[in-house]
Amino acid sequence: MRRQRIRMRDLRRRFLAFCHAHRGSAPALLLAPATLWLLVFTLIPVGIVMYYSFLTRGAWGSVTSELTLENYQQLLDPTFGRVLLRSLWMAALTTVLCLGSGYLLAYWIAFASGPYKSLCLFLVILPFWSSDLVRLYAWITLLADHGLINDALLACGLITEPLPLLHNAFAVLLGLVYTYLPFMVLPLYAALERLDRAVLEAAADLGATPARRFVKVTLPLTKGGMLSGSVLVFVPTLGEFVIPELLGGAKVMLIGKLIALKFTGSRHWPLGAAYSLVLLLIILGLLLVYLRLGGSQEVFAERKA
Amino acid sequence: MDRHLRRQLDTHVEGFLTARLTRRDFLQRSAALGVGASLLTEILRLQAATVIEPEPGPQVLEKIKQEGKKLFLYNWEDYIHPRTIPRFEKTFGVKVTYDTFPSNEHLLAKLQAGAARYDVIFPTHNFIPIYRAQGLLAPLNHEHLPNLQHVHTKFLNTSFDPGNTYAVPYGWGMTGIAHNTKHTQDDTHLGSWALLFQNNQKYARKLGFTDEREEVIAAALLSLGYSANSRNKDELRQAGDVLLRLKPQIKAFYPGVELRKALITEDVVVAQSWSGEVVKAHAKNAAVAWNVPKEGGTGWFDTMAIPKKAAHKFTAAVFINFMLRPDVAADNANTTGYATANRTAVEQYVASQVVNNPAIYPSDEALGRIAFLETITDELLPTYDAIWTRLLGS
Repeated sequence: MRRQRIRMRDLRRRFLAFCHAHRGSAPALLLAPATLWLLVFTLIPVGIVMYYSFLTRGAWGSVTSELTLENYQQLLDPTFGRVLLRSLWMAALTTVLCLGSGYLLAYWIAFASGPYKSLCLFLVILPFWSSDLVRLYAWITLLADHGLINDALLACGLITEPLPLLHNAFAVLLGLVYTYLPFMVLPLYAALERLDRAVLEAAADLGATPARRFVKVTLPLTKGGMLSGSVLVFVPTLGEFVIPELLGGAKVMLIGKLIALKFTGSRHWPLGAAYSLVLLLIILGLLLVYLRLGGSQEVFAERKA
Repeated sequence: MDRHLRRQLDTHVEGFLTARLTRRDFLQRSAALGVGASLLTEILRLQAATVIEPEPGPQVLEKIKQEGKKLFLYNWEDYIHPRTIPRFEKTFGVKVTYDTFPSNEHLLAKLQAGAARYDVIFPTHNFIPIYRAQGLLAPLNHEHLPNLQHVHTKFLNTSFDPGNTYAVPYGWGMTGIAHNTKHTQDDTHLGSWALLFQNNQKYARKLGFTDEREEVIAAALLSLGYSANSRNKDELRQAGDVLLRLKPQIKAFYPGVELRKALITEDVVVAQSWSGEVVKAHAKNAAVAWNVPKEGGTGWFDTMAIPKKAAHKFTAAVFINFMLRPDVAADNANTTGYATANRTAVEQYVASQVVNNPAIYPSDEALGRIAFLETITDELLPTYDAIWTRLLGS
């Protein structure tokens, strides 16, 4: 035990001596853990996907190491374009709906819930404690033709035929909004909570109506939360795979399913990799737009404050 | 069974348990006792239900021990009797890890990725050539599979796996039409794919399909009067068009368990369905009926195979042989809703209501209309893929 402690001390001294001797490379050393993390979990996997996207499909769906650009030519396939556009549209719609409803909820929690604030936040996070699948199956139970909602409406005599709630674009959108709403609420809540109440009071003192205060003060000051929430919702929604399968009855195909189909049914890994990479580039492009739009400014402004 | 017979059976089974007789001894003694043939079969059925395990030999146990007493299985959902694995674990002292896969394509992709270290997988017959071509399976040592003798010759030595070098049959089933008699009783199209394809306004949004590409396209081909395994690209194109026109009426493309649920709740009243799902749905909703359409249906059998990268190949072979044991095969067949390829099991162990169910063991006439699915070759795959992608993506 004692010997070990001595050895540890020795090791520490040698490490410090090493650091001292290589002072010039301190930034590199400090960046090493993050770089390693990025390398292992981001760059290498993406690199593998990129490599595959240039390979050739062999017999029976094997992959041969012959390089080709053919997979990228298949991006002109009209189905790919249509499905991609539909996915972008669904993701945008989900983001807007999450933003609208999430803002209301976050605003209420931050300003009006009083002593129930922690409870409300807890309730927002609560769904994460159960599996996605379980919650989606719960929605199936609610929305099916002979599900709880339709049965209740039929029993009340409000409708005579079950409403088409499940296995369509509506159900998919509902599932997406439901699943990703917490990702919007939490950053919005953080932004609203951080909002300096004195600023609002000053605006009131200067004669601003509540509506004007909200538009001129609250909204601009929570732009950062809105932007990060939107990114957190938009990006995973774009690649969502399970929700369209379960709630859409596999009839509303989004890009995630198309990519999965290339890897499974089509037995064409290089093409699936090319599709994935294109999706990744689109997301990357949108993130750049986000940073340009003010994501970085927000970060910068907050740091200054 | 009346009480008297029941007691007789109990006594026999008890005697069987205490004496630890081999089955042959038991048969001889029972015969000597003058037990009637029907009673004998009942006893054997009951014996299949009681857990009596033949002791595995010491060399077998030693080899299993050397491999680490572990086994990783990858099977379809709801495709085994719940007690089969505990029985195997107890008899051979193996810790089994059991996962399920949703489709053949997923199974293949996982194996191709190379990371999954499963010891026994359950691919469908028409996928075996793909595994073989890519060298993903380990050849089977038939010396370890003496119970292969129980398998019906119809499923052995097929063109998909000559000599059963890589895979042995497990369960089999059909794909045809499920319908709800409450809603379809007066339909003149009963027993025909027209029920789904031509009469669809009546069942708009009440039509279900399987989520398996080959099955859906085969149904469309059959409805047009073509072969389920058509290789004619013009016929395939027509099938694709028919499906695309039908899509607005289709409720959903369901995976097996979901399809079963939709049939039970009557969310769908007419559906292309796997036979076993109808069997299980019928148990919950008696109005769910089944037929092999007059134009024909499709058939398939699932197999057991050992991936090349499996870490416990001997234990895997022991497991496969265990699954081929007639009483175990019967156990599985009694609960899955699908037929077993095990002939001895059908003749001696499978419950009579299962054997007599035409949705599990069809008549020879119905079986004659069943076409076993062929492998989709590389040449045909782009056509199938395009039809399927266009159908789901439209």
